[in-house]
Amino acid sequence: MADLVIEFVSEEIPARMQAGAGRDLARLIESALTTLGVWHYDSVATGLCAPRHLLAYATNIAASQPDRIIEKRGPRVDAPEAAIAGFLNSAGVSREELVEEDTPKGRFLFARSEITGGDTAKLLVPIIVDILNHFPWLKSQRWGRGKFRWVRPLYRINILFDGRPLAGALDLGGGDATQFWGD
Amino acid sequence: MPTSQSDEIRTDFQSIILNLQRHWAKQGAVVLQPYDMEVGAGTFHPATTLRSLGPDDIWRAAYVQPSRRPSDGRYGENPNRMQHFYQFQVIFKPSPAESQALYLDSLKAIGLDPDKHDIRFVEDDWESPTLGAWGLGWEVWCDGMEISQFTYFQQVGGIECNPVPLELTYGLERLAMYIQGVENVYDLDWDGVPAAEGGKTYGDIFKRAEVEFSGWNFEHADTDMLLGHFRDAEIECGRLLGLETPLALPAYDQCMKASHLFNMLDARGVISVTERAAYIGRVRNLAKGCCEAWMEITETTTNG
Repeated sequence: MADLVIEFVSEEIPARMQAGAGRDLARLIESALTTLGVWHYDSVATGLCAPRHLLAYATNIAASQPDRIIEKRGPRVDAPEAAIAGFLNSAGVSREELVEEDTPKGRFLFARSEITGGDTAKLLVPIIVDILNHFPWLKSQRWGRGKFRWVRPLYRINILFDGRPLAGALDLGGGDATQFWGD
Repeated sequence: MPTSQSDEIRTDFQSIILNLQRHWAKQGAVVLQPYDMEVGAGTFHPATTLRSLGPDDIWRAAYVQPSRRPSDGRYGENPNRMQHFYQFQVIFKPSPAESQALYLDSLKAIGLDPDKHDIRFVEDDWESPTLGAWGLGWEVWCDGMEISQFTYFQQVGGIECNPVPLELTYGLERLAMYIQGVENVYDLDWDGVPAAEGGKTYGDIFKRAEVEFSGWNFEHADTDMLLGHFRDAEIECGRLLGLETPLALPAYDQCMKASHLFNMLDARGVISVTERAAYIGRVRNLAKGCCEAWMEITETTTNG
């Protein structure tokens, strides 16, 4: 289990938006971590906001995703070879890997693959970039040469997961205008 | 006087202007002189309005702009309100990464130490219906008093700004009153010279003008003449924009004229509430046309 701290440092956030921004960030983090499968019954996300700092911390996050088995139903066992070949192609498995199983509708072929869960640390950056790109500010602006919109110019992004800073970049859309964090 | 001023920084009105000019010149700004026409705010100066749009990828300017708002005249009797006042205007395109720090440094340059005052950036989104312009930003408070406007322009003349300019506007009288610790604008020390040696206050220089112009703005200005001038400016602006090669800058002069004439008519009380919106729309159309012509021509010039 690990803890996550996310901090966005910007110019002064309008007072009327601060409390809501903290709540929104916590909610978006919880929902993204739930989708990743690393959110636990005892995970807690808290959002905080000060004039120049919007942050959230989440506790008891799984350090990696659980392994998952993905099952895909194919054609019936007695289907024409062409149909089976098509399924093999789309599922990306060989004929030997298919298993047969009875269903109320007859005997079908199934492809099962085991997905190894990824490191949460590696999955966090795209999720945070997605939150940055879709944050529900009441009003947002561009600055400098960028196309990216935030409530006011965004200076820095700090992410700490499991005690270590995470490195990443946010494309501001203005060529050299890119925001870095960690190292 | 507030105790926080350092002794070596002079706080008379003209020194505040000189110190702001020096500060922004050091940051790479072109120090310009005021535009030689009546305008309601520093934003109207073409160095802000038109230069916020093409063609310069980088444009940095600072200047004082005398601003006239005829209906704000109070015959020299109100300690804070005048129909003629000064704005110090800074425009930086693209907005710099350290814009707030640059601004705070400028306060130090005029003797206001941000570490010793309560400086707040209070949400204040700016919009000019006559210029078809808007931006997000703050008004800056010093110990609870508004001393500046801080705006990231998003649109001017209905056109998206790219890159985004930063506009800073200092209300010079208000700022000077705070720094000098005076309650009445007319008591401001203009030149730092003692009265006995011929030193002048703001009142010595401008009080009579406030009295006389208030009378003109509110009572005596010939409204038929003003209406005629408004129509003339509007027609001339349209004509210059309609030329095969539009003359954006002369057309914009006519737009500024129309805007000020509208303010005069408004002060004279001859524009009804319903007419008001129509007049603002007419000025906005002129401004929009000028901005479009400015963009068009600068694009041609750049490509040619």
